[in-house]
Amino acid sequence: MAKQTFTTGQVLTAAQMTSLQQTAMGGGSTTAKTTSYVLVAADAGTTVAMNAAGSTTITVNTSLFSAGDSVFIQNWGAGTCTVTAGTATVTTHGSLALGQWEGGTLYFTSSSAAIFFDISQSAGMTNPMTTTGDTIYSSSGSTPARLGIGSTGQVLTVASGLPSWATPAGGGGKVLQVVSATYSTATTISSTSYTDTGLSLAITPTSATSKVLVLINQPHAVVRDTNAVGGYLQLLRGSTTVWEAIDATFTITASSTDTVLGLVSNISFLDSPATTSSTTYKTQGKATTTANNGNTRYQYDSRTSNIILMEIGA
Amino acid sequence: MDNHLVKAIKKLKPNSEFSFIEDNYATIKWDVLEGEAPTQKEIDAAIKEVKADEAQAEATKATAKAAAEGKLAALGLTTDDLRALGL
Repeated sequence: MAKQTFTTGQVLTAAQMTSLQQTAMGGGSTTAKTTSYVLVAADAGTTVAMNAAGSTTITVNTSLFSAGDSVFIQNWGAGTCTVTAGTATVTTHGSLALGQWEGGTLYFTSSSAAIFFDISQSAGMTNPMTTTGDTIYSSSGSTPARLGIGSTGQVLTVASGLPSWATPAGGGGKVLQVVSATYSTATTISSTSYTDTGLSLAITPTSATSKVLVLINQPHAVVRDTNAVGGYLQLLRGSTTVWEAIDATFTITASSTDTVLGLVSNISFLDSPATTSSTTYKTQGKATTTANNGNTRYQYDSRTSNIILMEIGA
Repeated sequence: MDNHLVKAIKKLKPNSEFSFIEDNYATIKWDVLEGEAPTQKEIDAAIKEVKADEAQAEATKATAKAAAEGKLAALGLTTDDLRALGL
């Protein structure tokens, strides 16, 4: 009900008590407006409801209300209704522009000043998350954006002013992972073309800037009935040769049948694969000649070869 | 270190180049091959020939050695006498 001035001894009716109760509960009598409106003193304690398709205003002037008075303002219409300071001062933390189904309480702190407590029903933030582990960050101002979960071992970092998941650099020069393998299957190569020795191992670098230290020791032998024979050895990353002996790694000068020279070749090579994909390293060998039954043998007589791959942080 | 498989293949295909694993015929990979690849049966037969050739060579060598030692003995010499002469 509108603000009343009661007098001593006045008897309140049931209707007045009901109206007072409604007002106390935030409801009460409602004055529907369809055009812009200027508040009057009789609006104190009532609800002013705007219902217009177009934009409207509700203007607040001085000397109409007392400190402690309040007016409930609602906007039912599709048009924006703006609470406008006329000669009075109106402050708010929220917005004085009310969309449809929004409203608030205009509370007077004096006859010339009011605070508008916006209870507008904001649509809230649209949740950008889609997957377990997602996080939300501001991509620009108050615009939320999704950051998908990173990979195992990654850490949250900042790139170009935005958060992202990244593989830790490892501090430089630190061993990030070690893989190793052994191989004991004898491979005989009677060919002057490079052929797989059977020794291979894959590693998946955690960072494209990492280096891979390749350590290999591989027993092999050269065999020929007569005259000299040599063997070559090369290291490949995938199908790319990254290291190659520039000359025969071992040579014998034989004058008797089935002359054999056995030894162990060692390779230490620091590679820069520049990838985070699985990368396979392997060795290939060949003989300098196949005449007089010349050949080279790797893991000969089932001797064990070793390969160790170490990822070194950049 | 057995070199019989290499010798057998080269005996059948002298200009071939190849590799294999653990002396296993099924793993032979040909880099250079003129004509058809020999069958395992052909290779097995060739291995026998290689071994026979080696045995024959060893026997011939032993026979020659025995004959030489016989000739030395007929002259009243031994192999130690030849070593003493620096031969």
